[in-house]
Amino acid sequence: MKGIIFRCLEELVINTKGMDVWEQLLEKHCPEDRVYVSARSYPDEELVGLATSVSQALNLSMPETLKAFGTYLFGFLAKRHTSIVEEFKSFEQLIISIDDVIHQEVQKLYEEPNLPTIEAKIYDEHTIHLVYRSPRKLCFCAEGLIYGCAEHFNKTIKIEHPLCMHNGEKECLLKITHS
Amino acid sequence: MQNYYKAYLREKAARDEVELLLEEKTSKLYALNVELEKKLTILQQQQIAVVQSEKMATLGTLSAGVAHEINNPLAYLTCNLETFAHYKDDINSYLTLMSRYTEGDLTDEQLIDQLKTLNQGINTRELTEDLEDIANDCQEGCGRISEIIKNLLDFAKPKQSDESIFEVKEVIEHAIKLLENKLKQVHLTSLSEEGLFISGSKSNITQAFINIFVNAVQACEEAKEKGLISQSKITVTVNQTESEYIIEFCDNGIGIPEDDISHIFEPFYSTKPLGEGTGMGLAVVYGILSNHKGSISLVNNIDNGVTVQVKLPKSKQ
Ligand SMILES: Nc1ncnc2c1ncn2[C@@H]1O[C@H](COP(=O)(O)OP(=O)(O)OP(=O)(O)O)[C@@H](O)[C@H]1O
Ligand SMILES: [Mg+2]
Repeated sequence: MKGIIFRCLEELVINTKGMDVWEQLLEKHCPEDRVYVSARSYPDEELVGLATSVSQALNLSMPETLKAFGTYLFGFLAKRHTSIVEEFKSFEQLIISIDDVIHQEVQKLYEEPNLPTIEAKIYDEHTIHLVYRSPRKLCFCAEGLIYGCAEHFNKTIKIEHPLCMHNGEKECLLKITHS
Repeated sequence: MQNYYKAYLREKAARDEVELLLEEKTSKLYALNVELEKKLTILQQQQIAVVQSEKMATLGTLSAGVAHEINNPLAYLTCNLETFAHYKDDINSYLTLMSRYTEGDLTDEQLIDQLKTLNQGINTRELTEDLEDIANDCQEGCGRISEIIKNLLDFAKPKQSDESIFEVKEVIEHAIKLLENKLKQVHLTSLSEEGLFISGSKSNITQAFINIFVNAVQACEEAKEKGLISQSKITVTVNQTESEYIIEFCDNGIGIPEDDISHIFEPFYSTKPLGEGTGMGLAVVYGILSNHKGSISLVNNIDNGVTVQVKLPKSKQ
C-alpha cells in the first residue's frame, strides 16, 4: 500500500487521538524507525494491523472504521491534489471518472500496480451503480471515499452494498443514490 | 510536551511539502516521458522511412551504374552492327547473283563475269574473317548485357550464387575485353600468369575489375586533357603471397589528393562533374571484395597516377 494512505491515517489518528496513540500503534504494528513517505510502498499487513487497532480503540467495527477512514481520506487527498478535483464539476462526474481519470493520475504519481478496478455507470438521474474489484477487498474504504466525495460537493447520498466480496461474491456492487 | 507537538507539526509540514514537491516533479517527469515516447515513435517511423529511401537511392544509382555498364557492350554491338550493315549490301549482291543463276537467269559465263566484277570492289577474305568477328562480338556483347541484367535482378531478388573457381587472368582479360572501346587509346600491359585460381562470383569480380579500369581510364583521360601526359598507360600485375594474390592496377592518370583517399570507398563519393560520376564504383568494388574476403587500397604513385591494389585469397582447391 502506498505511503500516502498511511500518511492520511497518521494525520487522522494524531488529530483525533493524539501523538501518543499513534506512537503506540506504530510500535505495535511496524518495524522500528518506520517513517511513511507518500510515494513509497509499505506492506499491506501494516495497514490492516493499524486499522484493526484503531477500530478496537474507537470501539467500532472494521467496516465502520474503514468507512470513516475513507471519508477522511477523500478530504486529505483533495487538499493535496486540488487541481485534479477541480477538474470535476459535480459529484456524479467525479464518481464515473474514477477509473479513467483519478486512477490514471494515481498511476502517474505513485506507480501503484494494485489499483482496484472501478466500473461506475449512471443508472438513472439519481442513481449510480458502481462495481468494485480488488484483491485487497477494501470496499468499505471505497464507500467512505464516496461519502467524502459527496461531502466535498455538498451532496447527501445513500450507499447500498447488496453484493460484497466479503460475502463470497467476486465483486462488490455499490448502489449510490443522490439528490 | 506542547513544544514537542509543535516541533512534530513543523516536521510533518516539512514532510508534506517535500512530498508535494516530489509529486509535482514526478508528474512533470511523467508528462515529459509521455512526450519523449511520442517523439521516439515518430523517430522510429522516420528511421524506417530513411532506410527505405536510402535503399531506393541505392537502387537508383545502381541502375545508373547498370546503364553505364550496359553502354559499353551496347557501343561495340552498335559499331559491329554498323559494319555488318555495310557488308550486307556486298553479301546481298553475291546472293542475288546466286539466286538469279539458280533460277536460270544467268548462264555460267555471265555468272563468272559478274562475280569477277563484284570481286574487284570487295575483299571477300577480309569480309568472311570480319563476319566471324562480328558474330562473336555481338554474341559476347549480348551475353554481357544479359549478365548485367541478371546481376541487377540478383540485387532485387534474393541472391542465387554463381560461385565457381576461376583464374585471375581470365577475369582480367574478360574485363579488358568488355572495355575494349574505352581502352583503345590506352597503352595497356597485362602481366598475369596462368593457373592462379580464386573462388567466388566470377561476374562480380569482373564487375569490380571493370570499375577499377574505368576509374583508371578516366584519370588518364583527365591527365591527358590537362596536357600532363601524352599517352595513357595502365599496367596490371599479379603477385602472390602464401595465401593470397595481389593484383595491382597502375595508371599514369591525374592522381588523387591524399585527403580524398579516405572517402573514395564511400557510396556517392565522387570528384567527377555532376552527371559523370555517381560515386558508386568503388563502393561496389569494396562490397564485392569484402564478400570474397578480399580487400582494396589505393595509393598515389611516386611519379604520377595511382596504383589500386586488390588482394584476394587463393582458392583452396
Ligand atoms: N585511378 C584513379 N585515379 C584518380 N582518382 C581515382 C581513381 N580511382 C578512383 N578515384 C577517385 O575516387 C573517386 C570515387 O571513385 P568511384 O569509382 O567510387 O566513383 P566515380 O568514378 O566518381 O563514379 P562512378 O564510378 O560511380 O561513375 C573518384 O571520383 C575519383 O576522385
Ligand atoms: Mg568510378
